[in-house]
Amino acid sequence: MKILIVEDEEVLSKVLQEKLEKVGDEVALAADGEEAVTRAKSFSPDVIVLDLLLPKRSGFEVLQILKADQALKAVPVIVVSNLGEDEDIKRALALGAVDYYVKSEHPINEIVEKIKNILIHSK
Amino acid sequence: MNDTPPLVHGHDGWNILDGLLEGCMIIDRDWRYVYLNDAAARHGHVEKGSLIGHTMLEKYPGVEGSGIFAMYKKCMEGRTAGHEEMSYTFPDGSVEWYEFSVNPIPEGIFVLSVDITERKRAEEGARLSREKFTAAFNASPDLMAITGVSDGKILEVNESYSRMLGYSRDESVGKTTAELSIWADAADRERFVAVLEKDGQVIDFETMLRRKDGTTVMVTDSARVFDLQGEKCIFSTAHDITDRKRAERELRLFRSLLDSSSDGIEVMDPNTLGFVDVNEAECRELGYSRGELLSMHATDIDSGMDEERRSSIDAQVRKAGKAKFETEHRRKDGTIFPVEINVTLVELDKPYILSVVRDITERKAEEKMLRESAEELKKYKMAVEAASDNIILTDREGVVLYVNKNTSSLTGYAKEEILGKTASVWGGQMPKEFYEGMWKTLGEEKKPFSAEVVNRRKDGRLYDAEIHISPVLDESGEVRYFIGVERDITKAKEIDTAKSEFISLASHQMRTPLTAINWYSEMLIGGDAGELNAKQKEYFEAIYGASQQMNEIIKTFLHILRLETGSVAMNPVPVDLGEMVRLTVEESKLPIDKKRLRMREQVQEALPPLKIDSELVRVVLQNLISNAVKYTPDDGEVAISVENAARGSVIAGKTAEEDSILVSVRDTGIGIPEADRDKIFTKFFRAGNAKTWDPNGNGLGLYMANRMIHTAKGTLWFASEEGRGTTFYALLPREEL
Repeated sequence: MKILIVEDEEVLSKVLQEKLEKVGDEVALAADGEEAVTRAKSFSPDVIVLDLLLPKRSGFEVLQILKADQALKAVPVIVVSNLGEDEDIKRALALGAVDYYVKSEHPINEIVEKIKNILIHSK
Repeated sequence: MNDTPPLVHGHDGWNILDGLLEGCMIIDRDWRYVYLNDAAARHGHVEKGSLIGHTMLEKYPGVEGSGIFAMYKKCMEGRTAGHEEMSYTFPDGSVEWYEFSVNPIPEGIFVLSVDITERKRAEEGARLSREKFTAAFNASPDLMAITGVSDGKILEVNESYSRMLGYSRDESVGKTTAELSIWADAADRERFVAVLEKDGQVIDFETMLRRKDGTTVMVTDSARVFDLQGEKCIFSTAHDITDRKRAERELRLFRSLLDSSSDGIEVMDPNTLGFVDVNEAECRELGYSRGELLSMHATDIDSGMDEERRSSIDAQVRKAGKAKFETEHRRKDGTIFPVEINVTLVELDKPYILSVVRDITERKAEEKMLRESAEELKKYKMAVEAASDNIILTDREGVVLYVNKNTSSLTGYAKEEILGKTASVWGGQMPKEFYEGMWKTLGEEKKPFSAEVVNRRKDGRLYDAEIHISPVLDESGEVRYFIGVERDITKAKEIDTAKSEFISLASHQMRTPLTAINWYSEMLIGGDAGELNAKQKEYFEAIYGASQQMNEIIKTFLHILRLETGSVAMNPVPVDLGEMVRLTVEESKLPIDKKRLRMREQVQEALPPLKIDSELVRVVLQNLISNAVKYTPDDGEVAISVENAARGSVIAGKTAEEDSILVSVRDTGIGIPEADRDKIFTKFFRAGNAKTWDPNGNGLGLYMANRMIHTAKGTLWFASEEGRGTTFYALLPREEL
């Protein structure tokens, strides 16, 4: 199982990477919106962990592109962001995100458990 | 004639005739004087001797034409006796009267003359006197009449009688006054006669006489009884007093007119200003009797004028004959009131000052009120004009009647460009439905309307505005005007945006490092970096706990910012309150266990569903429960209950206005001091005993919980007793969200 982590903050992507490597077979990282799109296409992940506030392209844009891409639109995207406003959550869910986590409010293990579940169900 | 009887001369017997008073004279047939005695000579104004032997024609030339000669001649020729009273005018012009008796005698005639001049003179005097009296009688302007006492018949009347009553003399004489119905009132006549009989006279008896034509005339009648040739008669006079009566009536009318006037009227002597007359109103107004005022002067009652002003008015009155001025009068009781005086100088028997005094207390008060209300109005106008919001008054059709200065400066349109048009001059940027809704609220429901709109300046730039429009209704409840207040909220919007940006910044900038602390601590504690010893684990747990706390604080700040910017999102979903209470209590498990608190959770069975924003309920419950736990001493009790509260039910003094769910959290904690109770929901406020109990606390929890419940149209309140405990009640409408 392949997991793409889109996170510009290295200090956070490192934690996600370390944790998710124990869950999936292969983990790839993207540090900005553009890289996220190219990596998604080349890497063909089974699940994408997406931050929203990203350099170059915002997470919303990335989400839009992914959902417009025939090959990628079925890939579940979990938003893990510190944008916690209601409208952000609604917007991301409307664009096709399967779940939304405000980073600071959730233990890493809770997020990891969720991803695990998604992977199991998407098999 | 030669046979002149000498016997006359020669007869001495004739001499005895000389002593007689009567004149005796013999004239012979040739008209010669044959004899005359002394009296005859005297009567003829001649010497006795100068006539004898001479003829009459000789001695009295022209006598042939006189009456005397005619009488003599008749006797002489006709031989008949004559007797006549005759006057003779002597050449010296004197006139004398004689009574002549002429008798024929053989010699000629014998003339006996008696001087009756004295008698004749007396008779003439009497005649003249009578004529004078008659003339006076008739010339009198007063009615005069003579009536017999015995039969009451009119004996004589004068011309004024006829003129006044219309009866001629002939119609009246011989009749009684009763027969002519001259007395208009028979009773008056009886009284009149009674007085006359008693006193012999009546003076100025006022009565009414009836004219021949039936009309009446007012007279004063005077009468006196007198003797007329041995018979008792009444002489009466009547003076026509119709004019006097009219004058009197007019005077009385005028007097009552003066007295009925509500204005005071004073008549004054222009030199002394002493009152000559005053009317009743003036007496009433001043509180003096008329008698008192008549001994006073204008200066005694005036208190509003100095000598200089008085002389200036005096000069004006003398020059122009009139003046109008205001001053003050002092009543007898000392009170002072303002008056307006109209003065006129009138010339009658001497000059008088006539002044009409009007009490202008009310007018002054009204003027003062008007002045004050004008002043007040000016203030309002100033306030409205200077207001920094647009203030717009329109008629019921929305046509602008007034805009204040700010409206022009904000929109860029001059007042003249707006007045008479509708607010669409600078409005009209919103969708059609918006304005339809607005007019429905204002015009049909007649309710105030508030909204945020976008309007457009004259230069085309758009701006955000907050508008509040209120209908002004008339007595019948119909819309008469609309008053609109428009505020430019562009700035406020910018601030809002800045706030939102701050929220976003805070959430990202603060949360990212916090997330790092959280996650790394979590990994360390979880053994991701190898097993930790007990101490290391304890320290990392402390870091993790503190980080969680900071996260809560950030969450609270963000909630408050959302609440205050109105950007709080409400997602009403069916909420299982029992479960939520259980979870929230679970969160506080650590301190509950530590303090050995008894927790009682009572959730009503088959609770009707509640649709509410779950985050909102979570935050409220979390705050209420954590507070209860925090402020309850060891071994205390916290009881949470959730129950149905149907519309109209009363809970702790409050009535549920609609079907609601009541959440109450009761503790046996330190309570809220009475002095702090009204401030307990104030931002950053902490009760005195709470600060002592736990110095750590931001004073935001109850503030936030209260704001949130208000956002959900619910109510939060409490009952507390210091040292005994507090119960918070949250009433949440079931269907409101």
